[in-house]
This record gives sequence, structure tokens and C-alpha cells, in this order.
Amino acid sequence: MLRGHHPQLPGGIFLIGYTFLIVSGGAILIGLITGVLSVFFVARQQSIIGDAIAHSTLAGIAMAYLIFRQQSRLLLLIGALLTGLLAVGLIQLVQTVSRIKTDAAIGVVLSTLFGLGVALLSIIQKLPSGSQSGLKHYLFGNIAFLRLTDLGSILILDLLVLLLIGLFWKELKLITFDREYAKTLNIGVQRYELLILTLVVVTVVLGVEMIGVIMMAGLLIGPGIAARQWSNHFGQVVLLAAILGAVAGLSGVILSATISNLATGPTIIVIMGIIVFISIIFSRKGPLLDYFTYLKYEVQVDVHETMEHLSSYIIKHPRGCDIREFALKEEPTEPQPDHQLSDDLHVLYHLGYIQPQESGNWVLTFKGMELVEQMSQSWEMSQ
Amino acid sequence: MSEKIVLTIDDLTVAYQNTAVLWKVNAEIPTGSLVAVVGPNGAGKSTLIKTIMGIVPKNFGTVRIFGKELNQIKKRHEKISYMPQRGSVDWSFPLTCLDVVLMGRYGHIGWLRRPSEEDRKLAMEALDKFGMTDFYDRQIDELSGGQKQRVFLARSYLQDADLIFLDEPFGGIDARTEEVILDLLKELRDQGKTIVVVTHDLSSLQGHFDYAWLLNIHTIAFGRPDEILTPDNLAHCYGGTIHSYQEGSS
Repeated sequence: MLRGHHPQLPGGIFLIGYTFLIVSGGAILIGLITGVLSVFFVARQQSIIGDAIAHSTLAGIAMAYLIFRQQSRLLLLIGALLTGLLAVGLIQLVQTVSRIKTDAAIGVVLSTLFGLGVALLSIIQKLPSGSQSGLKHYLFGNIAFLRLTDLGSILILDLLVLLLIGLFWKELKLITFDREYAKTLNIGVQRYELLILTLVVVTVVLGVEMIGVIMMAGLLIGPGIAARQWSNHFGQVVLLAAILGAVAGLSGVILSATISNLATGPTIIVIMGIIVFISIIFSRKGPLLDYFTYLKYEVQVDVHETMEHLSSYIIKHPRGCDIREFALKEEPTEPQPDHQLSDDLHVLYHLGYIQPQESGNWVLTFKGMELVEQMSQSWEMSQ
Repeated sequence: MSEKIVLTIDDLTVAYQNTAVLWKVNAEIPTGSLVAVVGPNGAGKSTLIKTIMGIVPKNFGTVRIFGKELNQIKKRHEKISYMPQRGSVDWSFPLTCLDVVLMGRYGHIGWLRRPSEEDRKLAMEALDKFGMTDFYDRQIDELSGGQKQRVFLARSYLQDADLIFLDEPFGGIDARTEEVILDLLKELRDQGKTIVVVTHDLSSLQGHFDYAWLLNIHTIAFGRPDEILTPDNLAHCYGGTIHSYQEGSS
């Protein structure tokens, strides 16, 4: 696709245009695929696993350099691949043989392997050939590494990941949501988990030169969080995460091409971070819209009437009760009783009169009790 | 007894870190019965079911379902189903009620296939069975505790297995819904299915369940509820005695 355009471009523009096209193509493709993969970790509350894999690759790169003493990119990336897979293996091992919680297990592997990577890098820097090794580029990334052939391998990876996720869509969705239930269906849970982790390792290895080991982690977390804010449908979340990852990649490249000396990898991550914050604040689940909904409902809902309706029931259950179900039972003939009540509940909740408990039950807050007390007093006085 | 046995458990022992959670548990569950597993917190009720389902590895003993070890059972999803506790998943996950219930068909649908219109229809029927039709398109974190429970029950129901394990299906459910669900379970039992339910509600045992299984690390008693729910057995099961079996150095 790119090749077809080159002959038409005049020399000077050709050079700028060519590099720009390659670099932005790479950033888009890496952003897209990290976006898709990030959803599977963020949804399982295992965001840090991508972080661990990304950081662990530095040790492999440094080791490969120390052993072969040459800058062959292929050897360095094979080193990265091996330590990435080692990190995956270690995380699984620590979880199986010990009772350490998952996040702690991942954290230990992350810091140990990254520590090893930085330690080896410090040795390399002192070697006569070391300062020219260019290895420190792998820490923060250097987009200039990217060549047309790299773009080809990233494109193949993207297609492979999308194909596999499409094929095993329902299995991956099930395992991500309810691992234990998936195990009882005997569908080979560990195979799929290993598949996703391997895809992440390969993605990290292909993206690490551009983005850097430290920044790579941001791309494996950010899109998943941002996309989740905008949709409640798993398919839409994955699609949106891909788009947001790609948008961050492209805008990072454009920005760093416009401002001289601005490093591309970190710029992409900063933009990703901004996208995450915008998503959290402005999405329909965010505090901003929530506030407007609350203003809207406050006009519609008679707080006192709703409280009166609920309070007699809720007070009988000081340890919490399921008031939504209560309302369904109370007014089964109402057109949409539950929907209506949800809105009412929403307002009462935002006014701080009721709050949900861990168990899913609801209780009156102190403020709520005060209101009920006031209401009953004014009722007595009017009698 | 002349009844056919669907589940045989022999000397089942499960230990976490050298502390036995289950110690030489024995039981035989007759086909087509509704069984309640009861016992205090930490008695190993959930672990028992997870071990039978192969989620938690066992240390010793055998579990035979339809006369076979778990990994010898072909088309396992048609034979055995499991409903985890409601708290075992993250309900903020981006799914609708229908999405979750449809998972009950994933075993039947098989590899590389998408749920068909027929699967969706069956899932809608399952939702209807538990009074959740109106909520099919609802995001799952908008549900109340009892509604979440019903979604999980509908998924298990849709799987249509012969042996069904339910881990605390009555948590967060009001008394009336509990009655409705118990009636449904009895209906399934009458169709020849075997249902094993972990529950905390001792008061519902008599009149609803065919067997009660009093468990506290080992089987305290197993039998007809009116026969085994004796003050002695209950004191033995729930009483202040602390069971702390240590696994031997072998």
C-alpha cells in the first residue's frame, strides 16, 4: 500500500512523508492491538499483568546483548520474547505454589525482572562498547527504529490477534467474566489464558522498540479503562479500546512530529492518559453526567413521598433490605415499577439518604434516618 | 436402598497449607433427589462442591459421578452443572443479563461457533422461568442482589444438566422468591435431575429437601431431614467444638 505511493512523491516530501507514514502506521497498529488486549486484563482487574510482561523484556534485551555482544535487533528481540514468556511462567508458578494474591505475585515478578534488566543495563553502560549499544532506547522507546519490514510484522500480528480473538470470542468472554464456571464447562481455560498472555508478550516485543518497556505498560492498561467508561457491551468495549489505542498512537506521532525533539513513545502514553481522564469524567458513568442526571431527577421525583414509601419497610430491616425487589412486590401492576424505582433510588442515593451494602442490600444512612425522623415528627404535629 | 446412586464420594480430603478443609468425607447421593448441604461457616461446603467440579484439587479420596471420575466424563457440560456463589464474579463486567444466561449454552454450542437464534430463545425462556424477562437487556451491575442471583440460576437452569450444584442460591433473596425457586428445583427433581444445594437456611430443609447433608470438615450426618436434624447432630455440627485436623507428614 505504502510502496505504491512512493514514486509519485517528490524527493524531499518523500523522505518526510515516508518516515511519517511508517511511524504513524506502526503507532496506529500497536495502539489498536494493545487496546484490544488491554480489555481482557482490565476487565479481570489484572491490569498489572501487561505491566509485568512489558518491564520483564528489558532483562532479556540486556542479557541477549551481554551474551552475543552485538546489536542484532533480532537477537535482542528474541531475548525480550524469552523473558516475557519467563514472566508469564513465573506469575503462574507463584500463583500455583503459594497463596499469594494475584496482584502481589505479579508485582514481585515485575519488580524482580525489571530490577534485573536495569542492573544488567548498568553493566552494559560501563562496557567499552556499551554506550554505543543504544540499549537505553529500549527503556523509553525510539520511533526511529521502525522500518517498513517492522510495519509488516506488526500488521501480521494485528491480523493474527484479531483472528484468534474473533474465533474464540465467546470462550474468552466467558473466561474473563467467570473463570470458575468456565472451568466446569471443561473448555480448556488455561489454554485460552496462555493464548492471551502469549499474544501480549509478542505484542510487547514488537512494540517495545517504539514505545519503550516502561511506556508500553500504559498502552496495555489505558484503552481498556477508557473504553469501559463509554459502553456496557463487551463487544463495543473491545472495539472502542482498539479505536482509542489507535487514536492515541496516531496523535502521539503527529504531536511529536510537530514539536521538535518531543519523544514519541511518552507522548503517546500521555495522550492515552488524557483520553482515560476525559473518559472517566465525561462518559455517561462519569461524575459530570451523573450530576446532571441527578439535577434532572430531582425535579421529577418527590423525595419525601419516595422516602415515606420506603422508610417503613427499610426501618424494619436495620441490617439492610432489598428495596428494589420490595418495590416490585408492592406495585406489580405498575407499568414499569422497577424502572421508576431505580430512578427514585438513584436520587435518594445521590442525596445521601440511602446506600447499598456489600451484600447488595440497602440501608438508610444517618442523613436518611434524620429525614425519616423529621418526616414522622411533622406528621405527628399535623395530626 | 434400591435407589440408583449418581454421586459417590469416598474419603475425600482437601487441604490448604496442611490444614484440612475437608477430611475423609463420604457420601452417596441417590439419583433424582434434592439435597441440602448445611454446616457452619468454614465447614468446607463450597470447597466440597468446587472439589467435585474439579475447580479445587483434592488431596486424597475419590469422587465418582455416574460411576466415572470427573475427567472420564464425556460431554461434561450436559451431565453436571455448577452455579458459583454470587460474590465470585465482578458484576461491573460489561455484560447484559442475556449475555450471562447465554453462557449456560456455551458448552452445547461448542468450539468456534456463535450462539444461534435458537440459543437466544432458550436463554430468554430461562430468564422467564426466573421472572427476569423484563431485565434481559439490563447491564448486570444495575441488578439487585436477588436479581443477580436469579440470573445465575437461569444460566444454570439453561445448561440443563442431570446433576446440578448450586452454591448458596438463596443469598440476598427474599422468602417469597426462595419459595418460588424451591418449587422450581422440585420440578427439576421430578424430571429426574439431582440437585445439590449449599444453603444456610435450616428452616427450609424439612418439607422441601429429600436429604440433608450436615457437613463440618467431615460428614456429620446424611439422611432425611426429619431424621437427622436432631439436636445432637446440630450441636455436633454447629457446636463450639473447633475442628482442626492437621495433615500428617506423609
